[in-house]
Amino acid sequence: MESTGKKVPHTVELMAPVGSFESLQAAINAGADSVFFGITQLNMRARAASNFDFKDLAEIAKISQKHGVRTYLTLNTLLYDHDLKLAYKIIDAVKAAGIDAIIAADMAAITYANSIDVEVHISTQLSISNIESVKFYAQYSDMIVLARELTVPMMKNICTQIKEQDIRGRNGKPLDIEVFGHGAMCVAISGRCSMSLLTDNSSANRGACRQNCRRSYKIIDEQTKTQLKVENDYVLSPEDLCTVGLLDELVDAGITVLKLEGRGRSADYVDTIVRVYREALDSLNEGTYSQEKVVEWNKRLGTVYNRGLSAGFYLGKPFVEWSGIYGNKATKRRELVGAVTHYYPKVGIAEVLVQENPFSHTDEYVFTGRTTGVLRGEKPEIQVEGEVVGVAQKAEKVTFKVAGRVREGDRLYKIVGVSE
Amino acid sequence: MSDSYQDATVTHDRENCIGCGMCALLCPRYWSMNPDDGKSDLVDAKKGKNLYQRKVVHEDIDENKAAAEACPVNVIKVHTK
Repeated sequence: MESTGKKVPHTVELMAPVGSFESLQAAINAGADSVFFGITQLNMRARAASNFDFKDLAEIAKISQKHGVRTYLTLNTLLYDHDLKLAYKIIDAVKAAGIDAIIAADMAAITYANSIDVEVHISTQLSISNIESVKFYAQYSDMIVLARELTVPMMKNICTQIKEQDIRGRNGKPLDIEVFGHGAMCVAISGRCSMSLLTDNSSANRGACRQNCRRSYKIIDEQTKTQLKVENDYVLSPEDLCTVGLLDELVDAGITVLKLEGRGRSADYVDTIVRVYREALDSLNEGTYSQEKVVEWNKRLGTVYNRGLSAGFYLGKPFVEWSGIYGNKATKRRELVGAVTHYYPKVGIAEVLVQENPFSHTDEYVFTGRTTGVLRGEKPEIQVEGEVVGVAQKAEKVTFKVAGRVREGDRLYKIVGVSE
Repeated sequence: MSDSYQDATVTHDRENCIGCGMCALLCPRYWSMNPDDGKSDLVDAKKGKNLYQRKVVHEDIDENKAAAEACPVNVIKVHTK
């Protein structure tokens, strides 16, 4: 493969979204340097089924520390007075469990964390867009997430100013600058939107966004009854952000942390995006980052959940592309086959009870599990009751060799292509 | 007797409450915010298996229905039968 030869040495930290122990393990195995997650209702994914709880914090810290992965808890909603006690309790628990930092937007959380020496990262919810804001919030934090609406030259200017003016965080070290690398974009300024609150009483700024911007809308001139045709009817739903193709520019701009978004997504989603961005970041260090690789990375990113991939505002387009579709544009989807009933460690063979969809020797597949994280494979040599078969049907127990350890209860999915 | 003259049972799936405060605003005699964990409490409710619940006299049903309708995560239900 031909390289552009562009070597951009860096120590950029790759941060992964984690909504479950499965995703945590997947992120660690795929090469994340840090993870972020939420507990209770005070985070921007308050609606997500998969949030952690107080009791999970110590285990998250333990698992992550074992692998040298840093852990950040999102506590970045607006806080009302009746939330304060809980917010303080969460920050106390972060300290007690040895979680590395909180990601916060409300000064109540920020100043309390400061008062008990819990590291603070300033959330993108504060839309930090210039060096003076950076300086102000540096007094309270060690890492600042820039607004997703900035362009790469704007980010570069901020990073350069931080060096030139020697702006340091509370810990005395040069301030870290984080930007979003991949994931959903908002039609409003990152989460600071009232649409869901106005229509459904459901505040995006309290993590309860109904995502009604993702639906299709028609714009009709009431006077003439003419309907405006705006390319398609998804006029409020921007495509997702994807920066793997401009990572050389982003890293060159001087950012120190790259965040991948998607705490509500599955473990195999986390696995795919973390692996791709890990490879991309590593290739910049090795000087092997190339357009051919970018094409391949984009293809892989396209296999998992996305609303279409774009560079967001980073390249200075006046607006991002509209998604043109409700929900997912992924080129592949997964179908549940069944659950692991046994694993034979000496021979590396998994036994799976087929419960949902038949499983074929030509299938591409993925296991997900709390300790396993994500394990992929393809073209399994499958046997049912000791006989080699082409397809294992529902209610049959199928055995086949796998590339790594799986565990009882892990789920097996087959990956199928989605036709256009 | 029409439904509107019957008492109702109101239930609260407190675990999934996100503490927006709408119920306490719209129906303050029945709902209040708990400062300990930022969620709302259904006043004088008893905890069942998963839900908190209590009887509501028919005059107060509409107010509780308003709270239920306003709840962004649908954890409040008013059962009139």
